[in-house]
Amino acid sequence: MFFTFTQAWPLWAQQLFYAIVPVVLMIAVVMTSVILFVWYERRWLGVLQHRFGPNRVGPFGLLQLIADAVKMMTKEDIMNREVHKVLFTMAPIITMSSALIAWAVIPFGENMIISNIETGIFFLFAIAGMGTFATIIAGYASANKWSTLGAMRGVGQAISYEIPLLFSVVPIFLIAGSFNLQDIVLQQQGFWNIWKQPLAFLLFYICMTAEVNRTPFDLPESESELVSGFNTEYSGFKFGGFFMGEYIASVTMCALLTLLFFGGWYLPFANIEVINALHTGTIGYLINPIVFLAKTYFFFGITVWVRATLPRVTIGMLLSFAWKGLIPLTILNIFVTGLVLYILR
Amino acid sequence: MGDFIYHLVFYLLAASMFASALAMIFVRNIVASVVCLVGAFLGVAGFFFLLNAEFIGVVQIMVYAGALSLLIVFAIMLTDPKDHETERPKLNNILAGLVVSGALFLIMVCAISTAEWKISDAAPLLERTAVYIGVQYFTDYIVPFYLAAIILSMALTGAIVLAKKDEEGDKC
Repeated sequence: MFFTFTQAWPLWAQQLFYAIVPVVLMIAVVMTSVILFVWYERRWLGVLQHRFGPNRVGPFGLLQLIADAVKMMTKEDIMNREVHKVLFTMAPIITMSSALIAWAVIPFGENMIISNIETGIFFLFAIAGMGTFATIIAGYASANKWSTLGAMRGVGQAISYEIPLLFSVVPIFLIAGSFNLQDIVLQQQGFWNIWKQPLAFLLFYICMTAEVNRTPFDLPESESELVSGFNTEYSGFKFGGFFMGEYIASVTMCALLTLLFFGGWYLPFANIEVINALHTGTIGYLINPIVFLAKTYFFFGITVWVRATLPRVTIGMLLSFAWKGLIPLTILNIFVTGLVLYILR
Repeated sequence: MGDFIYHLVFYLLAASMFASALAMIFVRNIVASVVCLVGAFLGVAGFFFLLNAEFIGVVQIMVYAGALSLLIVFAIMLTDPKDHETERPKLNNILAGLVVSGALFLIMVCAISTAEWKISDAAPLLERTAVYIGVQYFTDYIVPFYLAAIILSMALTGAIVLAKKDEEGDKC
């Protein structure tokens, strides 16, 4: 329909074209929004901390990020004599690619998804978990005490927080009866999951902040104690890989928050008329991604607000909070939800 | 998904899996070989995805590529870094290894090529496979499911008992 010019091509070229175009589009959208997110975070932090933030390069400082990216790419790439060169180079690549692959299962609107697999959210968590592996590889390959300590902390934190992270979304699966993100959103028409599962939202929010290593849980790279944690030895483009990868991971988590609890691409209080008028057909293809991205931006703004407000916790507080507070609460939440669903059956 | 893409992805996955499995054996640094092992696991997961077994593919990534490899690297990092690089093996060992693995390879080729493969005549399940697995677990296979749960909680409790110090007032 849209790509009539491909009809003259051989079959294999058409198939390749239709397989590659959505992926390229998705990567373009994600990378552009990550650049915008960095700018957004710095400006918003400036507002929250009563200062300006980047405002010199371009209108409202928007071109600052281009300048930073150019600086990062042209910087000298320093590699210590003691590092394990292959692993050292691989770690940022793993971070970046695992963060990008996770977007394969995120729907931007109805049927606007690269791979609509049944176990979409599981796939996302599994791939996002590979980021932890990259952290420990980076810490090991750097041959540096700070890096190793940061990586150890990162793994301890990730192992502790992945359990409540997965458990906290189980009530959503129970309500929706599906692991597919698109099904979960479609079932939230008019009534978002946040009203049904406020506790699950709170738990998910805490765990997701810990999972993507943002303040107050940024222990793997705590500047004041561990210099810069697992990425101390990295510079130039390789550091850029970590930086982008972590941003993409936190944007992914905000997108997931939107999809699971806040109705994905539906406008607030969208009833059946609004959905038929705005969220389906050709107009839906325009409106759905915009609403979805707007909600994601909003929740990213809240994580920045948390970052500007709370100090970092210590590793002991973090681990005991996960094992003694979050995990029992998530299990209780699953149990109560199951019971209520069984009674209402 | 078109035929061409299917075959392209299959051969790419096969090649990368073969390469990373070979690299896992020949790389001298033990952590690097874990990374290659993860590559092989991911290739297996990719095959599961190609075979429409998404749930098993995801579990493969989550358990093997994610958790198990992390555990291995974590355990390796607690050992002495000097032992991480293995030395080049001696000629005698290489010869002995070649003989043993060649014999094993021949036996496996004979066994696999002469075996009779049974193909189930049940209709393939094309959608909602994960739901089907869940239903099966809680109906027909409830006993193995509970046994696995009991064994895992025994292991967990045992680990806690072993790791816990006896001293009173020892906060951890």
